[in-house]
Amino acid sequence: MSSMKQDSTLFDNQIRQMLDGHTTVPSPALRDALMSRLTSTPPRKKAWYLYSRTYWLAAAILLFPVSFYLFSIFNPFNNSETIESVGLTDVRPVNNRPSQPETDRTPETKNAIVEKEINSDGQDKVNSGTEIKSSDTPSHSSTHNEIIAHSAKTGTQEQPDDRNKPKWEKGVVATIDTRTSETDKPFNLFLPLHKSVLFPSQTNKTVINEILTVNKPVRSRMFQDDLPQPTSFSRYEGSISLGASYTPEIMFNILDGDQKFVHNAALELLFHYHNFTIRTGVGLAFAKGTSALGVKYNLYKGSFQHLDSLDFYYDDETGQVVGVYHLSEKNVYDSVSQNVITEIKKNYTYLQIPLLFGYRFFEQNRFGISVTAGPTLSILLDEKETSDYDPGRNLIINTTTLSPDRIKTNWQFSAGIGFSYHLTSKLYFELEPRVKYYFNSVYEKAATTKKPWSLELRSGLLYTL
Amino acid sequence: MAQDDDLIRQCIKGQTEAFGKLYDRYAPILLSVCMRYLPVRVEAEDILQECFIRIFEKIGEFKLRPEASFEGWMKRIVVNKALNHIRDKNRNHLFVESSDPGMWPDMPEDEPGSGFPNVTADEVHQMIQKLPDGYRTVFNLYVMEEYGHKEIAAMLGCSENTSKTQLLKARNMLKKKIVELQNTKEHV
Repeated sequence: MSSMKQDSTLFDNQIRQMLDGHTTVPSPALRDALMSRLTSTPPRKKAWYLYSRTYWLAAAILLFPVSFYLFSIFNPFNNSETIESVGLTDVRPVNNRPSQPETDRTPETKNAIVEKEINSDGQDKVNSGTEIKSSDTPSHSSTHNEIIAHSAKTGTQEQPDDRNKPKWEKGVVATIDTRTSETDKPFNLFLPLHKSVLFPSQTNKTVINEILTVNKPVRSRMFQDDLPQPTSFSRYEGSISLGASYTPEIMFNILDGDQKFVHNAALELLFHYHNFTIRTGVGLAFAKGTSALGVKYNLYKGSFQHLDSLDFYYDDETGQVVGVYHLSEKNVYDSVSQNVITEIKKNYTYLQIPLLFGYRFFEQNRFGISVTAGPTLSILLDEKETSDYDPGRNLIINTTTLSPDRIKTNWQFSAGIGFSYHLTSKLYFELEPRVKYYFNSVYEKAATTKKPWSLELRSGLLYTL
Repeated sequence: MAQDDDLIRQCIKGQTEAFGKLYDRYAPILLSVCMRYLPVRVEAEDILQECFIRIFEKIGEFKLRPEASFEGWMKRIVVNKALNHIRDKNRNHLFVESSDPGMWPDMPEDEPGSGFPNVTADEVHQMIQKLPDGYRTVFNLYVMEEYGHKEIAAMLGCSENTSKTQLLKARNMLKKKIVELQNTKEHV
């Protein structure tokens, strides 16, 4: 039996090899007929998301340096940006910065400039021109919108080394509390928390006011109630976050009939410990696909009235015996079965349980970048099949699904880079491009395709408890 | 095949000249496949024309996977189209359903691995064409397209056993014909 099977296989291989590349030249008329038909049949365009995966990979790779570039722009401690933001051109270094006594502020004056005389006792010397400086730890803690200008008198103890340096009889230091300025301008990402601006004492108060009012960076009202912390925005320590996310996913290495796009929605739970996070939760994934269905049926030929029974009774009025026919309609089908291949649409719903470990390696003001990786378990919850096939009155003998079904459970491993942005101290938004690899094929017949992988973009809104 | 990729790209843009080149390259191969299923040339050419129209319409959806073979994709279209045609044509009499071993032709004695000396590919192709419809269809699907009996049964709406017996009969008949041809040539 075994040798017979080997013989058959050998024979099959020989036939296959002989006919591999065999050609039969078609008649020239066929080409002409085809080309004339083609001129009236435009080809269907390829869907945009079906383009080569190279483009998707390139997009994912580009995202990384672009994000760093954006964060370098958003760096609030960049002095040159600050200078531009207040629109001053004559900027010179300062050797000694005048002190700014806290007690001399007038917090009740919004968007105003208040001048203050500072007695020069040597510490308040102003040796150079205009200074603009941002302070990481602001000495002013006012929550009002205010611009405080200090006028400082120059000191009398002039050092010999300072003779060649430009001298100022008076200096005006303007401190801007950028956190609480109220205008109709949008939130300014370039903005440091505090700035001190030192003007020459000759500078007119009105001019200063105009400069600072016109070019002053501002935050919108939306963010006024929740001010970022001055030094660190790490609000997560030892805390828990809850949130929801939506993740569109495009899959590769799946059957042609299945849709590449998968929609994922999840409720998430995050545990934060210093810079580390563990993310879990429950999610649903919705996937669609089509499958070929073989239907075996017997053709409907027609129907006839079948005599079930016949009753007789005697009619007294006519004096005759009357027969009553009890009929029922019977269908007639062809005795030979036929076969047709039709298409069915399938909708799959998966329950997803992720366990992702994260590390936040970059954090500045409202922004943070983290890496996450970990496994996800998917369990097939529901599988719905719909078909447009109408058997009519034909008798269905049986149906066979020709494409493999999806497996009930599978494991995936995903890794990504998460970008977070704090809308308030507790509420933050996350955007996370990820790559996902499926440990096993999503089909029951694993040989059908290679192991799938996917690109996805998670967007989530989370609230820290 | 870089040339194929270029032609496919041009076809997607709707350039019929490129499709003409594609036709010139693949039509002989595909007609050979088609005629293995449909021996009548006119019939096979009609089906081939329909297939090329479909290929032209669907070419934008090709290359879902880089490892996919363009020729393989076109062959699948041809085979499916031919099968549908056979089903429509032979609705009730594709197979002679019988499991009577007495009907099976005798297995010719041949030595494994001996090959088919003096027999050309064209002759084998013609022999396959001359097989009865059911034998030929199952033989092509199993041997040439490498489907399993379960898949063939689902495609043709028959039982797996029917597929197996049809294959066995086809194989034996083909072997017999090849041996006969070899003997004839040897005597000549």
